Amino acid sequence: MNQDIIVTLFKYYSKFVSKEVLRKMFKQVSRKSVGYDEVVADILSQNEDAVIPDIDAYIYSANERFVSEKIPNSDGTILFVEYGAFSYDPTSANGISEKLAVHIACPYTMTNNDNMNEALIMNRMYAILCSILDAMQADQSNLNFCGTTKLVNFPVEIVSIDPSTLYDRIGFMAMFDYSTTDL
Amino acid sequence: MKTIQEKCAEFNRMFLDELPDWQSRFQFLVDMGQSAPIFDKLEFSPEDRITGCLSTTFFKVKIIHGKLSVSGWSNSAIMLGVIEMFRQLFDEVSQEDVTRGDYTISFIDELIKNMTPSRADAVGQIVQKIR
Repeated sequence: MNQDIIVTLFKYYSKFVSKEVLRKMFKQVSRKSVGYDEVVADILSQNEDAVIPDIDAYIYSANERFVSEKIPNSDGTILFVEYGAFSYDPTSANGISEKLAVHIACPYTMTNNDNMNEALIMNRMYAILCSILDAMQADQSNLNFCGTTKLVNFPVEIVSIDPSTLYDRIGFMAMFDYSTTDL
Repeated sequence: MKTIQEKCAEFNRMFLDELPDWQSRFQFLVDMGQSAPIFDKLEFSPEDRITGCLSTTFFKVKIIHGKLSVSGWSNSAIMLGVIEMFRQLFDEVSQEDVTRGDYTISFIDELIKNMTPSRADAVGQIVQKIR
């Protein structure tokens, strides 16, 4: 039984983010939850083979208020993993499924920008997102994950991000299910 | 050679009293794991697997001429540190001394209380294998 599905995914996506960016994320919180120091130590001791240097910020949240504060204050390219709705069936293999939306986006304003520049930025965002999805596909066969866990169920739906919906950011969002078992 | 009681008392003191907080205790485990002897993952069988999906971890206790031989492997730095801690405490210790159980590993109880549920469960499985 994976009792730590939310933390597992937080850790998983952190592997695409440099230590420098991650260190900035961990503030001196006044009330640390049980496991906080363990997870931080674990994340900061991961090897950096999967790091995508283009990612300047990592946001993993289901909290709109948190997101609305973090994204406008982030510079550069963000990896935003949004989680939320679950389907829970402890009686069947892969009966627990969580809907994830992985966004890769960066700031964009109409000022001093043209269509060519937008296309180049979108091209870059798409390439980063696809490299994450490719890594997930490769990791699926890795022993880190139980045979009953599916990091991603292909095909994923990829949609473009409209600046009006994500704090003046453009890029792409992949939507898919992560599934695991509780047997 | 130190007794198991002395080694456990030393670990309890060092881990809980000398290291000031959980951040430094977990960092200690990471460092310990990084300096641990490297065992080949292929040495381990499915029975040695510590179940749970957070990381792949194996832990094996064999009895050789009445003494424990402790080894393990993990792809998690923290779990490697935990394995190394148990190896330093229990490797080469007589089975008789271990089963007598007159030693206290309070740092393990505290460690479990400060871990995420899956990790706490994994450390609990390691304790069971030792006992």
